[in-house]
Amino acid sequence: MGHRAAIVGAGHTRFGVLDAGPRTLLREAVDRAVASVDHGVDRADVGEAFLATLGFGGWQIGNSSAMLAEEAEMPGVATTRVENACASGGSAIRAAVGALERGEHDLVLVAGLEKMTDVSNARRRYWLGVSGDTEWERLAGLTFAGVYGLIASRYLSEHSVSADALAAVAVKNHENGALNPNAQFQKRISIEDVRRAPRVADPLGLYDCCPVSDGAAALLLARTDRAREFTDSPVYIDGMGAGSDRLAVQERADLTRFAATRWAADQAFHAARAERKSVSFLEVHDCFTIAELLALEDLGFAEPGKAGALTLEGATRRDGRLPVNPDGGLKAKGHPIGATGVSQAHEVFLQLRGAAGARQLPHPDRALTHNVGGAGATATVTIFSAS
Amino acid sequence: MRGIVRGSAYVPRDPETGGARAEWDEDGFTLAATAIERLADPQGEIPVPARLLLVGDLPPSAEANLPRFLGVAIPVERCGNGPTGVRAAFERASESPPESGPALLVAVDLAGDRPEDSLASAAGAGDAAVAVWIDEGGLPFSERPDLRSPAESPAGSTGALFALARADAERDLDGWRGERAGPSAAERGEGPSSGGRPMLRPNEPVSQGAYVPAPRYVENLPSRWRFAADRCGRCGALTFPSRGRCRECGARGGFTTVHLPPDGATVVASTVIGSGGQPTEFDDQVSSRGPYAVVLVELAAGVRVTLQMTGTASGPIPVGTRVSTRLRRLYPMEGDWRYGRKALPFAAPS
Repeated sequence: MGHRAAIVGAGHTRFGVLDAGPRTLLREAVDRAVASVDHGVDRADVGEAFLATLGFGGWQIGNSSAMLAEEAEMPGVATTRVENACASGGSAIRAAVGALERGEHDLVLVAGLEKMTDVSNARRRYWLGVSGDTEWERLAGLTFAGVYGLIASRYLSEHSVSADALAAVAVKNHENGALNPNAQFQKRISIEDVRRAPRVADPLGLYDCCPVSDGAAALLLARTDRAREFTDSPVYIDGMGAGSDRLAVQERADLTRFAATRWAADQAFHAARAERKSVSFLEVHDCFTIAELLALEDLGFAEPGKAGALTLEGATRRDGRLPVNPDGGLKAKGHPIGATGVSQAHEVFLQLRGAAGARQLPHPDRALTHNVGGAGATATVTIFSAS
Repeated sequence: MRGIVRGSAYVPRDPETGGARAEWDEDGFTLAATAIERLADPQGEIPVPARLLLVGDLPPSAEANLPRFLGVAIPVERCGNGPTGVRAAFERASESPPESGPALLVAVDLAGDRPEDSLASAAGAGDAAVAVWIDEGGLPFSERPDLRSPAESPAGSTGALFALARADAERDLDGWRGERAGPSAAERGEGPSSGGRPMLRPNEPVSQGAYVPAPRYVENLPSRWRFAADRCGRCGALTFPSRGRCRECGARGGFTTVHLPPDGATVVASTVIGSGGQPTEFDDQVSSRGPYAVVLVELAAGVRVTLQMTGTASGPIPVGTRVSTRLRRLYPMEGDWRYGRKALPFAAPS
């Protein structure tokens, strides 16, 4: 098995509407990641630090990675901010693995952060729209909810699927979020709740959309040959893929498939020399319920138009044959933009080590994370294993 | 001899009263642009004018926007208001030397909410735009007895121009295209800078709008306002919006500009934005008018554009619906209006 890097520690803050500011969130996430390293780690051994953040609110867009070095107490460490909108986290992990593979360092830090709730509603909606196509789609009155609303309308019409397939994603992810103490929403909802919610971007209602969240997550990644110095049970990264697509959805031939995800998945499976059927569970980018259905299809776990049926029959629940988003996903856990991709890897770290508490899946040994920027303009896919 | 050779009119309809009243997202510029569009040939092309003369209720920004809309860099000649302005403009345009090329004369009235009248009636009143070509082959100013008796001219800029054009068109009605009618009979006391309904104020700062800086907005205008697309001379593919590069074969030049049809596009996806799903620059619109629909439409095979719905359409627009498109106001930014095309239920051109 060709492992490419190992996660030896992972930390996570609560996600939600938090009093803590960005510096505090970063400090908490990194402290918890350091504390999670079974055999201990010296912060001075970290060779480079990567910060995934959009810079939501504009409080510190430039040079924000220097703040990570400060709060991580790694003075002088080389730092870089990685930004691919909502796929910043996955992209930062990819950059970090690259640095390890090139032999530049033995140990690196990846942190993802967003502080979204300390700005006015108007400013927040401004920032929610900066990562799509601004010159055409936004001038027509769309933010991401609207773009995904267009995609959902097309999906439902093209595949003759009922909106209940979307609602089932929300119900399932809330069910999982209810077991995650870090989740923003730890409350189950019914399919009726989803149906009755106000429409945000028809056919998407309020419960089809992920919330606006504060939060941070951090990972310590080591070269595979050094991993066991830090822990007896590292989680390995075996394959990674990334892709991009036209920024504007209106310029894509196919509205209901994200080419960036498909390319990223093919690369990742090829690199990991793994089959789809060997994957125990998925962490996919469900910023809107429709996005989870697209993800299942684009990642190759459902035929086009069939992900809804898979969800409705319960296959993607924690006790189903392919659990998806056991931590609640972006939908229930929350979606602090830059933190999300890192948080997905954190969940894999817990699950593959059997440390996920009430939501622990039975003996998973391989997992996949899928992180999307915007409406599919960028995407990363990462495949992990426990041994 | 130079005179009116062809003309068109656009008279908006108020969906509630049926009156000739501009909609909330129309103004003097969009009325003028819509009237000019009706002069396009079947391929969607509008001839390039040598001169552009404006009469009536056009906002100052129209002096920059109308040449941009036409894709020409010529100075605009403002000729005042009402029958006096129309006569002055006609006289100036018909005095050009024979070889100087056609002049485009546009008159606009924003008269307010008046009862609709027919295109054929010079006594109509309301909001309207009339556009005429003045070129060789028409009846010149010096031979127009109707111009010499101003008392007989109807009031209003569009009323006066329409009366002139109709007098000519009685000899040659070919090419006269109108979408309903109702030339105005009144000149409004309001200054041109108001340029339309006071639904939104252009100078009101919109905090944190989707910031498309003015130069980026202007760069895109041929595609944004007239659906200009590049036909590749090498592979034949259409690229929209124009980006100076063929999206199929990568050619960097050798394009022919084509204007994709503004009417008859098919909806391929649609949504309705409400409950705070709108970008902040649409906040005023949502608070005053409620949710709006947005559609992704196919203009030509494989060429799609995202448009807001306007007019009376409300609720989800089914995939497969056909739409027409019109130039409308989008939102105020940097002290002026941003304009773009919006979709409305399909109406076959009359």
